[in-house]
Amino acid sequence: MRDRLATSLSILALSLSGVSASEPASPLPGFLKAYCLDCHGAERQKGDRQFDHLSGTLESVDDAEAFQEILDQLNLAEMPPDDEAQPDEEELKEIVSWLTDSLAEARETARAHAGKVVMRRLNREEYRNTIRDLFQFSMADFDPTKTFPPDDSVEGFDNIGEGLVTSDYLMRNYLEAARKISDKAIRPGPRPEMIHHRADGNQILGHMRGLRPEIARMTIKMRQPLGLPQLHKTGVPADGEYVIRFRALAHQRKSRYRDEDLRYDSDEPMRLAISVDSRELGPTAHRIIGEYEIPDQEIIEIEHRTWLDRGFKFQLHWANGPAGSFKRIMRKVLPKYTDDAIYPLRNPPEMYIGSGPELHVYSIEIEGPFYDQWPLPGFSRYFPDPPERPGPEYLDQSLSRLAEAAFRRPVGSQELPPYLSLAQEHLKENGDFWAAAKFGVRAILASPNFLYLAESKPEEGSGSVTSFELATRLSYFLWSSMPDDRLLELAKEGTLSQPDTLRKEVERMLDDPKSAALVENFTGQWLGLRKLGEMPPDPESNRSYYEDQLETAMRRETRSFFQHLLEEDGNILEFIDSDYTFLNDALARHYGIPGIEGEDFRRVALKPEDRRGGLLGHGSILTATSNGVETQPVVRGVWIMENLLGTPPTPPPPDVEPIEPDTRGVSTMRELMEKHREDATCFECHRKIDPLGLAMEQFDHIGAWRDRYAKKLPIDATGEMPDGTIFEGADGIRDYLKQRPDQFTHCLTEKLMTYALGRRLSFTDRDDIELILDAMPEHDHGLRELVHQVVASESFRTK
Amino acid sequence: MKTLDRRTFLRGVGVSLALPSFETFSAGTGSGPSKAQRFVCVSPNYGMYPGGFFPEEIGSDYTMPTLLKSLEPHRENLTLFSNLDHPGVGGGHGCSNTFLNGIEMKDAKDNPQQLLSLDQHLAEHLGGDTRFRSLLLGSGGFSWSRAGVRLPTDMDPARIFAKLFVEDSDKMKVQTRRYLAEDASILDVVLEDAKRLNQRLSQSDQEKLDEYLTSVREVERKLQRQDEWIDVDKPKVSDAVIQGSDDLIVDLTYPYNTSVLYDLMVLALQTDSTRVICYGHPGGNRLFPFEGINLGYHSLTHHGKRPDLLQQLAIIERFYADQFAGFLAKLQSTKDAEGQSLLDSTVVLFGSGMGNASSHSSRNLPAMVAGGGFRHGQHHSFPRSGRDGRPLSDLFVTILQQLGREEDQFATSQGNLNHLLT
Repeated sequence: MRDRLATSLSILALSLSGVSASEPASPLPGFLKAYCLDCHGAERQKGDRQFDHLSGTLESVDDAEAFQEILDQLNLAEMPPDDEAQPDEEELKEIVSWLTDSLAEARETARAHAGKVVMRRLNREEYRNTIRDLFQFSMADFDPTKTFPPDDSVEGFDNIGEGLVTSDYLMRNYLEAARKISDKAIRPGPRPEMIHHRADGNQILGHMRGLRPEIARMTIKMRQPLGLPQLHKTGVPADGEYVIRFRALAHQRKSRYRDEDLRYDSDEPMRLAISVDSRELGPTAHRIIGEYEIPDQEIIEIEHRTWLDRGFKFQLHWANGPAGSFKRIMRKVLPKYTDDAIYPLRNPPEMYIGSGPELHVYSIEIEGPFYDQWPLPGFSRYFPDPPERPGPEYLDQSLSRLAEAAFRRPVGSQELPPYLSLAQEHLKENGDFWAAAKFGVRAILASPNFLYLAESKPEEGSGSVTSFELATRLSYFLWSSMPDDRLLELAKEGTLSQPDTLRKEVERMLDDPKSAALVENFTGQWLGLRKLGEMPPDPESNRSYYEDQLETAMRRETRSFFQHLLEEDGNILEFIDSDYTFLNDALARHYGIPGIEGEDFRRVALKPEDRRGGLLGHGSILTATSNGVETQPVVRGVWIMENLLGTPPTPPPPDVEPIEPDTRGVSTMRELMEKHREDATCFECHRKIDPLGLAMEQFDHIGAWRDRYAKKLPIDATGEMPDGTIFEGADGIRDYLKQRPDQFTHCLTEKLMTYALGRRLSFTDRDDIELILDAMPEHDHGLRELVHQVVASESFRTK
Repeated sequence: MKTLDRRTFLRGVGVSLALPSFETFSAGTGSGPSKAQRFVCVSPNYGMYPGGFFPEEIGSDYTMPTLLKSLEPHRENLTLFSNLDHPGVGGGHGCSNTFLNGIEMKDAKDNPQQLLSLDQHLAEHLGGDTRFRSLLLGSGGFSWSRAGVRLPTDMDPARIFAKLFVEDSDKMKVQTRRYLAEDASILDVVLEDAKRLNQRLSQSDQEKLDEYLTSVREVERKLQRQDEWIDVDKPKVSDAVIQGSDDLIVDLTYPYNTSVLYDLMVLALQTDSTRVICYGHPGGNRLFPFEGINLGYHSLTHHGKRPDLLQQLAIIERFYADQFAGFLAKLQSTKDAEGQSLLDSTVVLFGSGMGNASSHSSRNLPAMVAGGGFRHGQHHSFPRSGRDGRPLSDLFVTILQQLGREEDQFATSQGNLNHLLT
């Protein structure tokens, strides 16, 4: 938190200097001397904190942040530590009220001299979404940000201005992306020609040679793609919507081969997957776009509509066929069943074909492109009804329309001319109207007004955001994208900031599918779900994790849970404990919960003995806090402190050499951890972290329940917190958290507020957070209400 | 004629250059023959297990440590150090990225320029006459620009080969030139617009917009530089290095492509396409396809001193050392423009910002220097007082001076190691 003091608030320091505490004789220096400076003074700076320079008056922003921290520690009764001298109740009361008053006064002064706008550029996700909405693109096969460098996170979020730096490398990427986008968006001229290709049986690309000509067959999961020879080299000729048709049949789902030999589940209906890829874009463009169940011994005709970008082609695969390779079946499986086949000699495919399960495809077809509308809506929005010979005037009008949308506000008369004359000159020199239009589009997309969420300097005395700025703040908070027409309309009328309207708009925006961005980005970062998959478990010893796609399922569970609370305005305390969660069959199996069939996710009621209530039971979090091989109790403990309690421990001080773990002869995690706690410097923080982490030990590295460690060693899941609370297991932590509902609410509010504002919180945001905390009980701690409260807060509506 | 202006030379002759031609003119400007002109840094993200990297004895009679056995033939061309570290850098995985700048991002907030890494600092001075100021390969993360931005890398051998040696078609060149010109005029417009926007912003936001202005100006410079090189033919090199031949089997999948990347690095230096190269070995938890390994790399680095895990980790780290030894051999047998071995004119640094991955320690960093005309053959160890050893940046100062920079300070240096190496 120390670096929080070094925020970009330097400007505030000026306006704050001279603010003095209301009491003439400040009690602070005396109090610090008596209870704090032994550990946080000139001699020692435990936790990297030093308070001996604090005088009785609040002189800078740094002072304010330090005051706030001292106040928080006293309120939480964390400091002074139990084994040190304690202030009596009177002293405590006096110092707490003095600190509270000083801070309140400083906040007022700071607000009056506002100016803590933090301009930020769009992050990758926001850029992608904004382009999608600006041009009404289908982004499924188009990602102009693919080569952008990853965005750095600050305070755990990647939408914080401070962390969103711009480099010349990124700038070059912006120029290149703008080029690609303008090529895609500017599509004048007649509707592209339709194609209609079809291949039957052995005309199909990828069929097995020398067998019955009317069938293309697949015998292995995902590894025998079938496609259309007509698309092989070039893909489809133009961006647009296409219809893919094929006829298929499931042959001999159950055969003489045992499932375990084929590594296959013959009880499941066969499924056929459609994937797309592009030769130009390479293997990273490969994606599954649809999956269909294929009935046994009956030809089914399937039609699939999809958007394809120019150059893309599609392929069919057997999604749940036997795993491994055809070679393996021939070498390892066939000889077990056929005497003539001799391992390891090569056997002809005919020996196996016909006797095992196969997915047959009779024909494949593609037709398109179809357009609901031509010209495309994202084109005609800015270039409506182009005249036969479009000229300079039409160019100006069109680019002005685009600039206004791209800058998310009315464009000033001074701003536009440079962009317009750039395009006009191009037109004059080359005479190619559409080339000039693309050039203008490129320039607008490289403008700081597009790339940055920039708010104007606040007027003296009034720190309110303008209505267009409010629209932009709202849309990037709830949609991670640009405001839509309605928001801009309300901004133009000037009614958006009226409380009723604002509330109605938030409701509308949360109901819009675009709010999936909030669920995804906020849970991904608050709960660290994005880390899931960084340390993947070993495929050999964790087969089901891969075969059942547990990682995807786990992520889905947590997202569904958050989304459910958001939709239903559910109580946020259910994040701590709940009597339901969201599961499919595989994840339920992983959790040991019987009776869940099918891969659809659904709400499942939980009994206490299921042990999965609230976030602490979610496989996603339990796996993301492990390293793929074993659990990491310290990481789990820190995770709970940081994300549920809101009291992140300070990182190990740089002057302490970390201890190299020596696990020779150590048999349990607890023994290992006790070793490092022998060091006094480590003990200071680890006495808070370790009990939380160790109590979670009954969940293994992929979140499965275990009663014992591998070598039958018992798990001791008890923990004692520094305040003497003793708890056992995850249930114990749940109870511990339930007794502190305000602390969790405070934590979640801070996280959501940081995400909403796109900047670090400062002491000036404290009033808002306190107000929200006070209001939440009246609203039964609803998550949707929390979003409303954040939007209505002064911090969100002022600069 | 002692030296030729490279570009005049290239333009004047107007033909593509076969490799031997390069031996006719000197690399580097104004640097004497005894000093080095090139810099290469190789860094494994998780460092090297200290027990197998640092020799026990000091001086020239040290026993080659277990991980470095394959470097025995190069003993006279390399120097090992114990107890070098970056003071002020804390532990954690982030320390890997501090290898060449000695500072963590969180400590450079007020002055991002401090993040500039040794390689990029050198590239500013050594890269003026080459097509690429520097080449960043592999996993990267430890190269930082003057603006304080972590620089991206090239990983795909085929792409790297194309970038260095494959000539664009004439049609492509025309298009590239047009794009460059167009981008340049777009930048003029947005720069003007940014200045106008600046007036409407609060002071703190103006600082933020400054990043944008700096980036735009930097791109303008780079566009111009790229434009100047469009018509200069790329050196012609056989693509056997990435395609393979009857005598050469090439595997482009990691980790087998390590030797391919080293071959590309030798070619890049030999053809004077660049004079600064960084190559990073990635972290992550991948399962190495080597006999005897059944756990992911990251898991192995947290071995807790268990012998079975250390044994597996050693297989990976010995592989890195073996490949590095092969690279040194190739540099030695390849001659530069002055007929000197490339190794003698190239300072090669091997090491990591991670001292001990098992504890995420940033102390006692693995560090080894080869070639570059230094006095080699020894293992030097520095005293450790409390937690601090000798700043690694002292070595960087010596490297800077060897490469012709008259500087006596870099990052957290307190002196230099000239007395040991020159």
